[in-house]
Amino acid sequence: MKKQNITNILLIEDNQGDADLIQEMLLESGSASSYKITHVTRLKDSVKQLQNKEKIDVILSDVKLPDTQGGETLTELQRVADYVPIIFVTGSNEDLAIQAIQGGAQDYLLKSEFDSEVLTRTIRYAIERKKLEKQKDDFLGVASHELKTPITSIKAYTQVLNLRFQKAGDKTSSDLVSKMDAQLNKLNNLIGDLLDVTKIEGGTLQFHEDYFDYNNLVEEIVEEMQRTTDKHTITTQLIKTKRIYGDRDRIGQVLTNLIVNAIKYSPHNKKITVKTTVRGTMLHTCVEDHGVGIPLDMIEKVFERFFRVSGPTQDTYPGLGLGLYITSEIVRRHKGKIWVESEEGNGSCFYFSLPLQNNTD
Amino acid sequence: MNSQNKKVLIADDDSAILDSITLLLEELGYSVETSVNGETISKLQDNLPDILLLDIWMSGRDGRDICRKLKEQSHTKHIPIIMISANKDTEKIALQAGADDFLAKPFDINDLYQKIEKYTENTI
Repeated sequence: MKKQNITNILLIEDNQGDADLIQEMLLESGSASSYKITHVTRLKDSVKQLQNKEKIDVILSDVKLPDTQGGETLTELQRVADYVPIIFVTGSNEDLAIQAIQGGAQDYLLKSEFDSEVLTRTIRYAIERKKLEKQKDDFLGVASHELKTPITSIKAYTQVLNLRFQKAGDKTSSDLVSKMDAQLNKLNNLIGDLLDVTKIEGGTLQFHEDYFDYNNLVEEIVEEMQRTTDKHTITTQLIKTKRIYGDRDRIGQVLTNLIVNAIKYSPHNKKITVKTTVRGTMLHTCVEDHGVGIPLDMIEKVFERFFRVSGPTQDTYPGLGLGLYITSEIVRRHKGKIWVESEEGNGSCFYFSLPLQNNTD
Repeated sequence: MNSQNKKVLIADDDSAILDSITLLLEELGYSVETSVNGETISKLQDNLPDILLLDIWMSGRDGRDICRKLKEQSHTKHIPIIMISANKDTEKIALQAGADDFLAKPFDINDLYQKIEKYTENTI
């Protein structure tokens, strides 16, 4: 007798009729897989199921649930389900379903348009697709680890040289080596960006949150960024701020990304400013440059993954096109907002907001 | 307290990292020993270091197991262990395995120095 594969399905559907229909379809399918279905009606019950030991192979979820919908459902599921493929089922709202695909769901089905065969095929496809995605992400994880190894030793060698030059009083050579170090940091950040994108996709981006001095962080980043450019002057106008609660490294990454862009996109103008203001309960930070600016039709797109701007001579600026995507994800997860004001030819101001804590000194 | 005569033991499977970090630490005044093979670390008997920098993953050997073992043995449990990894998200895992602290690769020389000094404050 052939051994049956059992596919564990988590069905999140609050409409009993729809749930029954799906379960019937799966039972009547003659495929080699047999299905074990766990049915819940709310998102929060599904979270409990996913946190149990028993492995779920695929999630079938209505796009609209009593306690959530669409994109929020997806984010929550991705947070607790490690690489589980997700298929959304929708009555008629195809837009919500498409948004879910863009957010990382594997497929969607229209309630009026599927039968047993379509359902079982869709499930198989989603499982295979997720396997491929995981392979790709695992590979990127290994690749970035491998890439960081030689960078670690090169960085250590440059720091040895720096110490020796300083001891010998050779400031010129010491400065040269500091510039090398700054470029190594740039390289390291690029690799980090690659890795971060795979984590965002896989729902595994973690934060280590604590209280920290925000102005202190800004000054640190500005100093580090200043070392990467002779042509620009980065200044700060910071209001006195209370402590911020968040992941200091990741917020630093946000600042770094915005300043790197400001430098990159103002090849002819030297002034870059980082300003902070308070608006209600939020701290607003603005990174301002006077460079090429962004055309009106592209302003919406700049935060999209892989998006890169073309220069006036039709060649593309260097970079992976990941910085703003990751930056916006970090800000969003800190419960802030990010946006840009820009005019083509006149530079840009990238803003992001972070919640201020009301109860600290 | 200066860094003179403090003994640092580094375990990492990349020989360039061992070489460069050794040079760096010696430049800072430490005396350094290295191990490319986790096996010898878990068998430490005498000539114990004042602090251990341990890579979390070394060619098939899990740094966390080595860390746990050292922290269980009475003659090695006092040695401060700083776990190192290319992935900064492994900090929590490292601390759970009993490491005293964590450093992400590539290191900043100041971070490295500060952490070593912090955990070897009481070394004569």
